[in-house]
Amino acid sequence: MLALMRNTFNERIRSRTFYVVGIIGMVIMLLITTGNGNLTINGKKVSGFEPMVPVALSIIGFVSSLLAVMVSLQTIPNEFERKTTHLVLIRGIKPWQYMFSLTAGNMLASVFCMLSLYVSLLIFTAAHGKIGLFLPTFLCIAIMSINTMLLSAAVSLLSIKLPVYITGILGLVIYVMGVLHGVLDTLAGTTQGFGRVLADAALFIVPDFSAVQQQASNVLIWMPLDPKPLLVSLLQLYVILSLTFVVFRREV
Amino acid sequence: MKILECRELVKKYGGTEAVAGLSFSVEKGEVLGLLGPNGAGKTTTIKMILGLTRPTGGDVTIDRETRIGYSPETPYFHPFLTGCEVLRFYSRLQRLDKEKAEPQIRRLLELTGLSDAEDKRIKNYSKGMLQRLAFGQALLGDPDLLILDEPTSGLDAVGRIEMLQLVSELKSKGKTIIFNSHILSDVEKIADRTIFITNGRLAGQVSRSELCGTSLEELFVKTVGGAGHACSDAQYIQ
Repeated sequence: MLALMRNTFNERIRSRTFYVVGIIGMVIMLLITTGNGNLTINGKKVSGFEPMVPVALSIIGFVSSLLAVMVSLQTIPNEFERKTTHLVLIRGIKPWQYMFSLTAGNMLASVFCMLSLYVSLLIFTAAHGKIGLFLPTFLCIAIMSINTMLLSAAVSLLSIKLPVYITGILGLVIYVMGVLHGVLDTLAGTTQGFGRVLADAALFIVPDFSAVQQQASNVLIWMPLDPKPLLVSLLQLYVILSLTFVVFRREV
Repeated sequence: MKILECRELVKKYGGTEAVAGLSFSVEKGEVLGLLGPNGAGKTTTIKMILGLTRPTGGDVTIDRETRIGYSPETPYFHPFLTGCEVLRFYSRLQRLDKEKAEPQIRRLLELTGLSDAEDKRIKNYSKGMLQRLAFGQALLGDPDLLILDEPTSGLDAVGRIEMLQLVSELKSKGKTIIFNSHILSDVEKIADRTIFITNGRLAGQVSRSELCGTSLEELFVKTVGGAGHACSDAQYIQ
């Protein structure tokens, strides 16, 4: 299983697309956080460390989510299309071991992509003379990696059965719904009857990326940490990974 | 002693019957040739033997201890790996001891003539090189039963001769081999016994000793042309 994970990780991080998107993300991040981008929100110029932290995390969250979807999208379909599945399965590897390893490899590659983006956050932190915040930054990275792993695992799971383009669209829908979880929650509160039940069910399934990101932001600006959204996300990750044990294609 | 037995194998894809009640067995140390026209069900049969697809009916019996090596018709590897890394990767999946695997990998690269290209990425390999690498990975772990699906396709004349020599060497070492090829002369050279498959059924079989002068091609044409003709042939066992 480790060999499969490592192979998946290596293949993903050697992708040219990953580097292009990653570099673009880092440049945008550096431009905004160093002040060269003159960031304005609602007509007000945003500058200084505290107001910029949630902005920086949102950028990292967006770019790393995009990368997580891209990294995880094709790994499993590629295995089936290239029929590398044959040479793996005949060696006594069980389908669940195979799918779990590929998903785990995708998750690791996605987190690696995310880490590369955090380099610019560390530069931003250092630029503001907040060297003491390096340690909380690592905690912040650990928290944000929950979102990345969750999205990567969800996309990997969907890609076992669905065509690549549908998986890609669904991956982005999950991300957008996850980021707008709070807004959707408020909207769901305005509905009644069966619609309410449906909306609640959808919101229960969709990960609350915004709440996790909020906690990561709180760590950096010394605000209290609420463990509930983190535990819920970890539980969702556990459920998704468990599903990789039972979902497989009929024909390999 | 039988190393593999297929009994009444059936595989249906929707309403199509790819394999329809196929039965045959392979003796230890035997080289069995699989012949049949395109769409006869040969590859589906191989996939069922390998456990890659579940039979709709019938069963495949292989001794639990039997180690199987498989060389696919269209070799498919991770393009970012080098030839050497491919063998290393599959040796790890097979849980081969690292210290024993490395010399074996070197030997297989040499055997397949890929030593000079071992650090070249797979995406830069020619079809012939991929075919030889597929053959090499099939030999990892010294398998008891080797299933070769079109091992000479994509090879030039020299490559084909070399490949057939390699298979002959393995045969002389007592390996059991299932040799699926559409090149009749290759099967004729290698196989101890050949089975003909048409429409997912066993249309007939012939052993090397039973050929006595008749070419495999003649028998194949008779079989593919109509089972009635084949039945009337004295050397042909239905």
